[in-house]
Amino acid sequence: MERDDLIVNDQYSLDAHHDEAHGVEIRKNIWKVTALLTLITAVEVVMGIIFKRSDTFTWEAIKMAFIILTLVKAAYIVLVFMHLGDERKNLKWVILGPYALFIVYLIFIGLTEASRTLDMRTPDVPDAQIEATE
Amino acid sequence: MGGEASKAISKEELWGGGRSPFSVSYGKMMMWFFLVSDALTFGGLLTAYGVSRAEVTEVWPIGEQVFESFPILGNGLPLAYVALMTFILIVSSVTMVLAVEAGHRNDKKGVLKWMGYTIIGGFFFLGSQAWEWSHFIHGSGGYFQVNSPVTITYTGEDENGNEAQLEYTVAANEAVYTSGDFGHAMEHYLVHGFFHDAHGHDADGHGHNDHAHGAADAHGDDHAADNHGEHGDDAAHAAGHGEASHDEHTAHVLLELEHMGIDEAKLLSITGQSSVHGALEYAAEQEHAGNKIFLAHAMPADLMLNKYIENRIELDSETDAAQIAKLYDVTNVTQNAAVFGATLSANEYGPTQYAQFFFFVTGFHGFHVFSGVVINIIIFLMAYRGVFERRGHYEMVEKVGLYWHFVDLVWVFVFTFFYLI
Repeated sequence: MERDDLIVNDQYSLDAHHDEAHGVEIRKNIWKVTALLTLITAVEVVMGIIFKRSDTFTWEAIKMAFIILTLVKAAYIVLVFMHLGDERKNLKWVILGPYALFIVYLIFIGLTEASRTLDMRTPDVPDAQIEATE
Repeated sequence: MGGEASKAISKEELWGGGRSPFSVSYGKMMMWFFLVSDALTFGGLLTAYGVSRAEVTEVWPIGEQVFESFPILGNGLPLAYVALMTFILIVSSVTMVLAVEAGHRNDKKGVLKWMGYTIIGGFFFLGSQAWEWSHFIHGSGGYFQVNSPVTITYTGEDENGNEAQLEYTVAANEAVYTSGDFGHAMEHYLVHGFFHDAHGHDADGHGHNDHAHGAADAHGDDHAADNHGEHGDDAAHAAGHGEASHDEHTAHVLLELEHMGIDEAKLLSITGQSSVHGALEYAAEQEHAGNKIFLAHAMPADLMLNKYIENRIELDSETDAAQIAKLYDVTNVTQNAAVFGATLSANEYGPTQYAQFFFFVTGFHGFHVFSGVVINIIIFLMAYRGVFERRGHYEMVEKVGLYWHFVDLVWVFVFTFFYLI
């Protein structure tokens, strides 16, 4: 069987070879992304310590901020560190498309189901009872 | 970056056979496909965690209260250690991408150096996770109920807001909560009644008086005016708040009572009142006077819910877990009366599902880190022996690099959902 990891030229491999000058540029970018990821993590930790859980809108916004910051971090890891940003467009879509589709749907049905379950577990307080307390 | 992947190639040539239409080798593409399936596994696990968390009625533990210990430095450092772990994993991801870059230049020395650092980072992370697990399992305490009243002194704020030594008597059957690390309790705290502020409260002092709130003050400063209303200052009530918010509030309190296992009938029998309104007012008065009438009636399992709240008195005495039993004359230190640490069947932090998911998801991730380190070592040795040099390219480094970055990627999500939110 022919082994395709033995390609001598760089016909298949992404950016399989580059010279030293190009390497300097790539490394500079890597350190930039490193600084950014560290900064985001530091911000997340400080936010985690400062903001307390509550049922206010502020906490909801902070929760969303955590998720957005996480997605930003994930995007940098996948696109830069894993070089997916440099791959052909078709490969990018083959990887990200099905994943996004499945996971968004899974989260949607999961959380819909969970909120329904919680509703059933939580005792209803009928309006009549509230009036009775007046 | 240039290279084959970004070159424009006509469609006929691309899909005409004899070459990869994705411009990646078979091995790399399969690594990507594997990562997609593995990412779906982790996505499924984290979604399941979210589902469990969303559907339990108990209070879910707060990350910065569960994880506040640091090796050697002790406790009281929220999220510090996990932040360090995250940083170590990010840095090891960076050294990995630098190894890949060195491989693209056929720089054997560079590959070995950076892969070496990556492996060291991997071991550091594994060790940290082992420590974190050990700490999580041993736990930081739990809660006790006392047999007979015990008087405790603690540092708090007096009426004038000055720091002072205050005294507090723990009533019989009142719960004492402890926290610390590795079963060594660093602090004890009490929950004043169960009309606590479960939804975050500004730290407005830790004095006893500050915490003897009425029922209506259970939900933060917004309702401070309601509190006056309940105590007869109807003018202030009417002026400050509409009836609607009052209704909502009553409903909320009733709901919390339900969660504590006290339904309407039980509420009426405990308070000896004939209406819900009267019962709540009576409870508020009793609370205001410092009588914790409900604690004795709630079940221990229900009291567990109160552990993770902001509003608590911290008692500055250091005691070993075993000594606490003597100090407080504990009723019975059994699995149900006092839970230390975590197992799959019970944990001191909150709902059972919390520890179960923690073990499974961080364990599964830790297993990935472990296998990643093993694979990295194999590739490191292959590079050292010159296998890739002879082959003419270091694509294997790139492939294991993909796996290692994926491990980092998963941790980014685990960190957010288990520790931050």
